[in-house]
Amino acid sequence: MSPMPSAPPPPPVPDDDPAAWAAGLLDPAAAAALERRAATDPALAARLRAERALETTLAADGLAPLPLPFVAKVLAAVRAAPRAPWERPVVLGLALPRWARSAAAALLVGAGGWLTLAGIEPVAAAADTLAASSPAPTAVLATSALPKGAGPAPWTQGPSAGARDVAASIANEAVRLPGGPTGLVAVGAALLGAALATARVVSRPRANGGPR
Amino acid sequence: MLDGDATEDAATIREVLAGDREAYGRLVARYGRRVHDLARRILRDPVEAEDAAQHAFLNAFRALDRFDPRRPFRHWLLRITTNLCRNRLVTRAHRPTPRGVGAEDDDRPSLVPAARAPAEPAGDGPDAARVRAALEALPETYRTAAVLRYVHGLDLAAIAEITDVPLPTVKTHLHRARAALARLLAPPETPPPRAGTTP
Repeated sequence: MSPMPSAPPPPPVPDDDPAAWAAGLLDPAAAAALERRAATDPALAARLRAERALETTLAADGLAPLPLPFVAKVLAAVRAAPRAPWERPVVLGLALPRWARSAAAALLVGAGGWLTLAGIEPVAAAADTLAASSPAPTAVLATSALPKGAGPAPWTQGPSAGARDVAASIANEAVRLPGGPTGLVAVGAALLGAALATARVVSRPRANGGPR
Repeated sequence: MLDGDATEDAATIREVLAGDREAYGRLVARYGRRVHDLARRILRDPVEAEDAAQHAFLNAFRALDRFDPRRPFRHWLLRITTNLCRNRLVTRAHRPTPRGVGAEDDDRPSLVPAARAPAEPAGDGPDAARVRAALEALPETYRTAAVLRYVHGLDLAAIAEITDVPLPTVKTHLHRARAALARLLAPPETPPPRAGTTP
C-alpha cells in the first residue's frame, strides 16, 4: 500500500504582503490569513516582526518644525502678488462668477453688434425707413440682401410700434451725438472689444492638477 | 464624500476665489508644516526648502481656480510642492558647483546623509535622527515615496497622485525604499572577539 500523499505546500507569500501588513494596508481577511500562517511559520513570523519594528522606527521621525514666520511670510507674498489669472474680471472690487461673465460677454456682443451695424448704415438717411417699415436696423441690411422682386422680407411685415419707436429714437439720438453715426460705430466696436476680452477669460480651459 | 478637513478646505477656497486673499492664510497655516517638511526632505536643504515651500503656496494660489474640489486639497498642494522641488533638483544638477558640493542630488543611492542638512531635530530621540539620516540617504524617487508614506502617513493611491506615477511603480519604490531603510537602520554588528585575547 502506497503512503498517503502529503498536502501540497502552501503558495509562497507575496513579497509585498508583510510590508503591507505592517503598514496596515492589507485587507482584514488577507491580514488574518497571513497572521494564521505566521503562527506555524517561524521565518514568516520573524519577517512580520521585523517589518512591524521598521514601521515603528520610521514613524519616530515626525514632521520637521515650521520656521516661525513662515505663514506670515507666505501671506505677505500672496498679498503682494500680482493679480492671479482667475482674479482678472474684477469690476469695482467684485469678482464676477463665471455665469455672470458669460452673460456680460453675450450682452456686450449683442449691444456692440447692434450699435455698430446701426452706425455703419447711414442712420440719418435710414431713419425714416426704419421708422416706417423695419423693427430694427439689422432688418434694413438683411432686406438689401434679398433678390430683386422677392417682395418684402417676412420679418419686415408689420413691425411692432415699440420696435419702430426704439429704432427711430436710436437713429435720432445718433444724429445728435458729437460723432454722429461714426460715434455709434466707435461705441459698438468698443463694446465688441470688451466682449472679446470677457470671453477670453470665460473660455479659459480648466485643468485638473497643479502646474508642473 | 468629503471629510471635515476637506469641507473646511472647500469653504476656504471658495472664499479665496471670491476675492478674499486673507482667507488663504488659513490654508497656509493648515498645510504649511507638511509642505515645508516635504520640500525639506526632497531638497535636503532647509534654506532652499523654505523658499520652495513659499513658492509652492504662491503657485497654488495662482492656479487655485484649476483645483478640482472633488479631490483633497492636501494632495494637490503636495503634488505642486513635489513638482517644484524636483524642478529645483534638476536645475541644481545642471548648475556648476564646486567639486563635491551637490553630489548627493543625483538619483543614485547614497549611503551618506546630505552634508548640508543640519541635524535639526524633527522627532525626539536618537531613533528620529537615525531615521532622518537614513531617509535622506535614499535616492529622490524612493525618498519622496517613503516620506509621503511613513512620515506623512498617506496611502499608496495618494502617493501615486502626488508623485504622478502609476500605483505599481509606487509599490516598487516603497518596496525598494523599505529594503534600503532596513539595511541602513539595522543595528551595527558587534565584531566577534579576537581569538586568543583575554581580558
